[in-house]
Parts: sequence; C-alpha cells; structure tokens
Amino acid sequence: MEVHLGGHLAFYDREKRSRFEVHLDAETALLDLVRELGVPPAEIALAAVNRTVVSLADARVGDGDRLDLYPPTSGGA
Amino acid sequence: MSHGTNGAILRVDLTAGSISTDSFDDGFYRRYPGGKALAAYHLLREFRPGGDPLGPENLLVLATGLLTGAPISTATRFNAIARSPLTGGFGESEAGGYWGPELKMAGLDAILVTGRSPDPVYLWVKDGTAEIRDARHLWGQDPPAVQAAIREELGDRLVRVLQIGRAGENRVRYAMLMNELRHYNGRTGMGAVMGSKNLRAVAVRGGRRYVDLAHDPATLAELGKRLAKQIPEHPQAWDLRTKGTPGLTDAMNAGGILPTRNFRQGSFERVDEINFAAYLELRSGTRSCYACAVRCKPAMAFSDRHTVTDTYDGPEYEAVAGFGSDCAIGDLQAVARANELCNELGLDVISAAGTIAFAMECFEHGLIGPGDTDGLELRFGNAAAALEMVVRIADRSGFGELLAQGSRRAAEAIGGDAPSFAMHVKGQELPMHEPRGKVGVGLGYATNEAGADHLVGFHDPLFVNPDSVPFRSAADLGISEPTGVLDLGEKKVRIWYTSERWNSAEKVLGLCFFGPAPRSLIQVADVVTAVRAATGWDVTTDELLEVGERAVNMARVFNVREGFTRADDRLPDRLFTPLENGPLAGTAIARDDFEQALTNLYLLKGWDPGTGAPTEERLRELGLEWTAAGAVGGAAAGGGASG
Repeated sequence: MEVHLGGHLAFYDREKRSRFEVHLDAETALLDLVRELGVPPAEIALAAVNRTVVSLADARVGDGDRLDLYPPTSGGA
Repeated sequence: MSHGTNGAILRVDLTAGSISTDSFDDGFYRRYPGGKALAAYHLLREFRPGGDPLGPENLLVLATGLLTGAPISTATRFNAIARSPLTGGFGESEAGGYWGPELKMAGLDAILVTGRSPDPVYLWVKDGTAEIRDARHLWGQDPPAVQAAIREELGDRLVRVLQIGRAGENRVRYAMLMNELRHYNGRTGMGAVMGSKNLRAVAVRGGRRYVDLAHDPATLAELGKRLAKQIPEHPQAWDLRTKGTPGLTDAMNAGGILPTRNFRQGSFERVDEINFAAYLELRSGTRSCYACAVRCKPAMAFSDRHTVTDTYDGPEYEAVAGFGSDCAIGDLQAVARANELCNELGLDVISAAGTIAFAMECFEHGLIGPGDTDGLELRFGNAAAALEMVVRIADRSGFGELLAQGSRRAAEAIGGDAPSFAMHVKGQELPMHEPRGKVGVGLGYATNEAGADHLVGFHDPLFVNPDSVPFRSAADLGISEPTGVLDLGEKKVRIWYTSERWNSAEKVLGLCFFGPAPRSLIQVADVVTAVRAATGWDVTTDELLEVGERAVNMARVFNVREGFTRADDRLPDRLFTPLENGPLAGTAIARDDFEQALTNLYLLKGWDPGTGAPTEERLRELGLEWTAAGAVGGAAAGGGASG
C-alpha cells in the first residue's frame, strides 16, 4: 500500500521518507500499522484512507489502500 | 546601566530633514522591552488620532525586539508599526532576515520616522549615526538594483537594506517592506506608509555584537549553542527545514481547510498540482535568517511555462494557497510567478491574492465584467489574468487602481453583493487558514487589532491531543485542558487568551512564531533564560505574558481612539455559512457561539464586553493608565523615559 507521512511525521521513519510503499499480507488495524511504522499516535491529527478521513482508533487498512497521515497544522509564513 | 538593549532610539523627521537620538532607561525597557511594545508606546504618544495614514503625520516605527540579534535561533524579528492605510487602525507587521539584527548591532533599538521628504531619499544608519541621502535615482528601480546601488554608493557590500518596491512608491494600501530581498513585513500596508514619506530604503550597518550588550553573555552564548544543536534533531524543526511551510498544503486539503475559491470551499480538486510533491519539483534549496538553525526559507528557480529567478523568497504556504486554491489556479509555476511578482513589486502576497480572489468571485457573479477589468477574463483559475492584475495593482493602472485599495474598499465601490465576497477583517484580507476548521484562529482574526492575521495565537489543532508534543510543551504556559478544533467554549477562550499574550510577547522579544513552545523548538523556560541572561532582570513566564498583554492593550487603545468598537471584531458572514465541499462540507461557525466566545474573551482580558475597549482598571493594572483618554500626543507618559 502507498503511505504518505505528512509534515514532521516523516521524521519518525527510519529513512525519513514522506512517501513509500509497504506490503500488507492481510487487512490490519490502522493503529497497529502506525505503531509498526514508528509514528507516535499522539502526533497524528488526521488520517485518511483513500483520501477519506477515518478514525485512527477504528479504521482498518489493506494492501491496495492509500494512507495519508498528518500532524496538527499551525500557521504558515 | 541597561543590558540587552542599546538604550537608544533614532528619530528622523523627513519634513525637517532632522535626525536625533532619544535614550531610555532600564525601567522603561522592562515595561516596553522592544518590538511591538516599544513601537506601540511611541505610536500612542506621538500620533494624533485621526491623522492620515499616508500623510506626513503618520509615525512609522521600525523596532527590534529585545532579543533581536541574540545568538539564538529564531531571534531575528523586527516590527514595522504605524497607522495602517489598509485598516485605519493599528498597523503592524514583522519580518525576520538580517536587517533587524543589523540595526541592533548598529547601536539602535528602533527608528522613528515622521514627516515627508520633498524628494525621494534613503536613510543610512551606521553605528548609531544616521544620514538622509538622495534617492531620486533609485525611485522606480527594481529592488535588486536599489540594493546594489546603495551598497555601491556606501562602499560596503554587507550593508543590510530594508526597502519598498513600486507598490510602496505608488502607495498601494497593502504594499510591504522587504529586507535583503527575501524577507517581508507583508501585512497592513507598512510599505505604503514608507512610500508616502518618499523614503525608498533604510540601509544599516553595525559593528557591535549582541553578546556585548548582554548581562550574562556566557549563559546566552551557551543557550544559543545548545539550541543550535537541538533544533536540527527536533521533529518539527526537521519538518520546517525539509519541507517548510509549503508542506502544509496537503494536510490542509485533506482536513478540508484549504481555502478554495475565495473561501467558498475547503478542498481543491487540483491540489496535486500545487501540493508539496509538486513544490519539490521546483524548489532549488532552502535558506536561513540570521543565526537561525531552522533554515525554513524556500529558494526557487526555474524556466519553463513561466520563469522564476532565485532573487526573492520562494512561495510560502500563504502564496501557494492564496494564488493556488483560493484563486483556483492549479498550476504551481503560475503561483510561483505570482509570488515573485508580488515580491518584486513590493506587495503583500496575502492581501494581493485575497483581493484578486474577491474580484474573481465578483466577475463570476457578473458584478464586474471585461469592461471593468480592462478586458481581462478575471475568472477563477485564469492564471494569466491573475498575473496581469498583480502588475496593474502595483502600478495602480486600470482596474488595478480599484483593487489597490483592498477588497473592502473595492467591494464598497462595486456594490451589490460584492461586500459579502470581501473576505477581510477590519479591511485586511484573511490569511489562508479556514476558521470553520479551526475556530480559535477565527477568534484571533476577529479580535486582532491589525485585522485578520494567522500569527496572533496558536492554532486549534495543537491543543486537541494532550499527549502531543505541542500540548505538552504548552504546559509551562498554564495550558492544561485539551479542546476540539471546532470548540468555542470557555476552555478554547482561555487557551486563546494565553496564546495571544505569548505570541504578543514573541513580537516584543523579536522571536519567530516558528521557535518557542508550543512549536517547542525552544521551550518556555529557554525563553525566560534568554531574557534573564540578556537583561539581568528576574523575569518569570508570567511577566513575559504580561509584557505581551500590555502590547496588545496598547494596540487596542490605539484602535479605540480611532473609533473601533466591538462591531469591528467581526468575521466575514461567509464563515457563518456552510463550507461547500471536502471533509468539512456543511460546517459553519455558529454565530451565537462566536458572540459568546467574544464576550468571554473580553471578560478574561478585562475589556468592556459591550464596547470591546480595555477598562480603566485593566489599563491601570498593566501600568497603562497614561493611555486613557486625553493622554495623547506628548502627554505625560509612564515608564521612566530619560531622554
């Protein structure tokens, strides 16, 4: 599946990647995947699966999905 | 002996051609340490209510923060403050870069400019001395040529140049100031004020070091080194350095809070053409402000459908959303060119984009047509028309003359439904942050004395999760109760009250919004340590919050004198109607909730909920009794001015 770590969430990826692919053998709880990716759940403000906002606590994802995770947003310059 | 400041302010009267220096003692600086507070003090004392913002009577204050120039990341900012020609109220805008630190190194804390020179001039400031120099040959020139000519004339390539562009010369109401070509005091039309004085530039060079001003240079230097080491390892600093503000675009769109088609919508169907992935294809690097380890400024250069040179700052998020989604232009190259034009011409990119988005909606509704717009099909998505309008606004030519007045005045002139399309507060166009998805930001837009601004408080998403880094780092400010992004209850109002005071303190200290908690690159305790080391004062967090609050109250008193009331603390009607699309489709701010939140905020601030004015009691508590009615224009002032 396609994973996009928005904002500073990419900092937690070992290679600091913002966009990458992961392979899932079976459908899994989003929260489990997030923990496996090493992203602290408390830093996630918004999760979207296939561009639809989902609940981080309840959603499940499969191998063909696209996942976007974002931290809280603040002001720009 | 005072520390952390130079104790000196330069006073320039361009009508008389005179220059003098005022000195102030340590007690004065403890109340008005720098930046917003120092400037507001002088504006309140010396500007007579009702004076023309573009007349010689306006007072333009360029004020460094207390810590500006200290060897600490993000301590780079200075304020430009005057009566705003855009809002008619308290005008203020901050910029980072190099000019503010250089002014501090030149032995001055601020420059006060009044009057109007009969001919174009520039000001040359070196090590506490100043000279008014002829700029007739610079008037009308592009900013790089002006900067190069001044450096050549002065024989010093390290002179730091603050200047206006063509828009400032032409007194466009939202003209900006730029320093080193890449850093901008964008908001509230301070460039028009400078242009109205026939002052093209202020060139500065100084030989001091901030640590030599400090009470405890060793502690200050040690703190600076520690922060320089910590910051690159901080997740949010990494984000700012790696992605910068353009990294926000995807998140805003995904959350349904990317202003689109003049704030009608919250998601943009062509976001992939302006998002960060698209941005990376054009970005050529990053840059820094003075002594800052964050290094968040984007550089951009390309030549393709459009050409952009690496002369100015690359587009920040505000430009990407302003000319991108809000004007429905799904072409990052065109957006980058619009951003470059604004910078080259000296226009505030937020107000320029917001005013053009407003005009596009008027065009779509038939309120204006090609006969009004010099033949331009000024519709959403028409990049060529938007680019042409930017130039016409700066030159005040054709339809640009009307849009150069800002969306509020243009709407009044167009009539019909046009005022309902003008997305402004107090006449200043909204930044690219959607209050229907972060309502505290809306409260800030409404109440800010300078009009809609996104940097007057912390944005709501930072305070949703009590386990998040921002929330935990704000605990030192007394913030302990999380609230939702759409909550307008008492918890949200308390958070806003605290965050506004803290952000105001940053504007007094000269710190960037991107540094201190809750961004948490710099903890609250680090800021207190820095002020103590710089000044020798035994300050606490509470005293810094009070310093921030004092500055806000001075700005409020200024507006009250100019006739502003609670009725001016309003949001555009559109924000009380549902968003048309995206994840927040159907979401609106509840007007009753908003009005109650406003009342609650006034009560927390010690302001009259009926008028929105500070009570005499609150002013007295803040040591501002001298600002009460009548204490204007040279009346006795508190605070220990010694010269």
